[in-house]
Amino acid sequence: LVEDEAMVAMLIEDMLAELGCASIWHAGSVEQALRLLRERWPTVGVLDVNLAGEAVFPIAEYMHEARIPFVFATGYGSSGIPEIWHSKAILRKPFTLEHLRAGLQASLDH
Amino acid sequence: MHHVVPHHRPDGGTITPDTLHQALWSEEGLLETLPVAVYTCDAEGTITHYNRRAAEFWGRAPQIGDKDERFCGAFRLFLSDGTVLAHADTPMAHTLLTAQPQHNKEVWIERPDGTRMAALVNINPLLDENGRLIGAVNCFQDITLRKRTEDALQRREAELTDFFENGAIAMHWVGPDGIILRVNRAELAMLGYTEKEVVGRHISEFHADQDAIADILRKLADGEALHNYEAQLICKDSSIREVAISSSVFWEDDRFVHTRCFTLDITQQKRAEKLLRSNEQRLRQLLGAIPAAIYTTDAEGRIISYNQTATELWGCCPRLGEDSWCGSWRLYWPDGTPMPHDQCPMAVALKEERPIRSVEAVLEKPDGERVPFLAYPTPLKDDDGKLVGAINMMVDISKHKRAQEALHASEEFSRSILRASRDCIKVLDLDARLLSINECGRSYLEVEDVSAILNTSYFEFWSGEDRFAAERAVERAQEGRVGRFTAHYRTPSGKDSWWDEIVTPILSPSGKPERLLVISREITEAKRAEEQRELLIAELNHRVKNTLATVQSIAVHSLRNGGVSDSVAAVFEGRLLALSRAHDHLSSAGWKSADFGSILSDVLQPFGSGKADRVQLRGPSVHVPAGAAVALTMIFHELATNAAKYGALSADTGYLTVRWKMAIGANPTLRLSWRECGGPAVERPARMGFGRRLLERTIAQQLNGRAKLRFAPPGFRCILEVPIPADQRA
Repeated sequence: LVEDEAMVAMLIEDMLAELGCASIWHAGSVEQALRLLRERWPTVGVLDVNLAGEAVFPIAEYMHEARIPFVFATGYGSSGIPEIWHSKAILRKPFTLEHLRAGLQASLDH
Repeated sequence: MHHVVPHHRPDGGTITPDTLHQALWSEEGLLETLPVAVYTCDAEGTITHYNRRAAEFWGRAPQIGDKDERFCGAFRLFLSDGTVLAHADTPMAHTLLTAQPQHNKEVWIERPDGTRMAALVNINPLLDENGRLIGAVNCFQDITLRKRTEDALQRREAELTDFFENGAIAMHWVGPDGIILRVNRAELAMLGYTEKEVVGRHISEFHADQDAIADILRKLADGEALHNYEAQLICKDSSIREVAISSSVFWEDDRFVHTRCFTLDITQQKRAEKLLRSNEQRLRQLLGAIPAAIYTTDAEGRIISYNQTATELWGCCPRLGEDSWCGSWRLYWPDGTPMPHDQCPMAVALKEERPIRSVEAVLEKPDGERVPFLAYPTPLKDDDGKLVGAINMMVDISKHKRAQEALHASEEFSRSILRASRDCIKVLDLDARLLSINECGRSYLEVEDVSAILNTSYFEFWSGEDRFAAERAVERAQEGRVGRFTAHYRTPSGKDSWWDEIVTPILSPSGKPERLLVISREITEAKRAEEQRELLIAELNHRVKNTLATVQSIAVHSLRNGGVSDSVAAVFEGRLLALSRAHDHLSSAGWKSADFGSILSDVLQPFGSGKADRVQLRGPSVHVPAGAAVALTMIFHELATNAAKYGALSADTGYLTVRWKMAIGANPTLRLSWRECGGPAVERPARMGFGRRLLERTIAQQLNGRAKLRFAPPGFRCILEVPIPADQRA
């Protein structure tokens, strides 16, 4: 989970736990996320787009090349995401548990 | 007439022949005292006696008894017609031959000095007692004076006749009764008649104007002479001759003998006069019709005529024959200095006797209005080249001047606009090649010398899709329409700018596109501001969404930790998400308005999943303002939640129909009906829940609308009316 807002990150962590995730690793910035990805190999990722003014797309590219599925979570809707990523599942914040389940399912099926 | 007593021999009388002879022929004899010339001849013609008067008449004294002087003592003799009369053919010879007297014979005697004398000759034969011819006596008298008078008279009569018959002047004589007595050849020729057709007829038959002939006859009868009385005579071919009749009556002892009418054919003259008159009239009409002011002066410059336009131009009427040079009130040179009338173009033309062309001057009307005009004075000369006057044409050029000034002002105005404009203004030919560009444009394009870029293609400025858009815009302008596009331009120095380009055709007077006008307005600032705004909105969305997500997180944790049931958390989460969706719609439309249909379907989407055929939404596309969009979203979320919990969507058999339309009018209103069917029987709730409170208060107080809720057993119904001000629907 890449998310800069702590409260939001807590909510999503709870949701992921409820969905049955065994381990949840959280990063609050691109740098943190890249460091984390060098150490861990997650099954699926949830990426907030705007990380305190920093775009999350380098992480998206990294994970795309590493073939790790992920979903975007954003307040912008699809308009804030470059066209090349429009095939990925995009969650509009705020979202429910059901939304998250459907998004993750879609990215894993892809 | 003097008769000579025949010389009879007296019978035994006392008077002897000698005595008698003496008495007759002596120097104091009877014959010498008579004022007549007398001579006698014997039977052979030899002159036997003559008196002094005879010698005087002859101019010579012939020898008595000379056998060579026979019949007459005259030197030479002629007849009246001028033929020579031989002495042997004289009346004397005739009498001696025939013994018959000759009475009143006229002969002309030529004297030796060449003078001539007319003689009236009376000859009687002299017989002896046996009746035998022994001689003759000739008494002759001088009738030269009478003869001369007679000849002159005759000659005059002949001349008169000749004049009457052959003269160039047509003439006729009319009797007191009006009957034509005589008519000459000239008049017959003039009218085409023969003498027979005219003489004996009444004069009035030949006059076309009966009043005129009646007047003529009356005047003549009154003893009045007519001089060039104009009348009309009828020719044989029925044509009319204009004539001038001069006539007077020939009276004899107060008796009207006849009138002598000289008839002068003035048809040509009349025709010429008429032509002249019509020419003059035509000229006047022409002058009157010419839109230019025209007047004429005599050689001294006095105004003798002017047309209507001239008085309009002058604003006053000059006194004919008194005012000179120009009829205007005051005159000025184009620079405003006064121009004395005697220095005006007309005065110069007259003084220098040359035409002057298009001299500009300004006249002032009595009311003070000044009118610029061009003068074209032309001197008029007679056939001999003598100056007789001048004609001047004045052309009012005030309109032209005003138009010129207006044009100048307009051009100056346009230039100043072009100079002052912060737009880049270009003129292209129809092939989109640059013809001109204003100063602002030059500086935008960062070129020093405009000529360096003239004739380059307008399309060169653009690249990629912008170039395509430019071509489309030019095509439209070439078709006479307006082309417009927004494009990006990078200056030679690498400065990025954004432009709003408007391409319009410059039409020829016939309405065909002739050139193209391009007005380029730099919108870089606006574009940047727009980008900035979009960025801000995106940031706002991000903030709002993150805040909502944070609220969600806080609520979920608070409720869960507080031991509140999950269903309560779900209700909260539902409401929060509905609010979030409303913001999504607003953000996609730039926070101005949202499409009502998509708001509704988005709200109903979680409740209708798997039941798509049971939820029917029908209505036109309506945009609602931001505030109303959020409020309506919350209301529909409550209604839908209610339907899913207790109403039509809680049972498999129920269905929901939502219909809306816009009532257009003074107050455009969105009317919506929410209708549930096939669900469980509906009972009116005892308690007023959050949803209903929210609905009624929002509609009535926030949106100034009306809500009608009906909890009827077949299904819940609700009718909403929400005013949507026209200026808030996008």
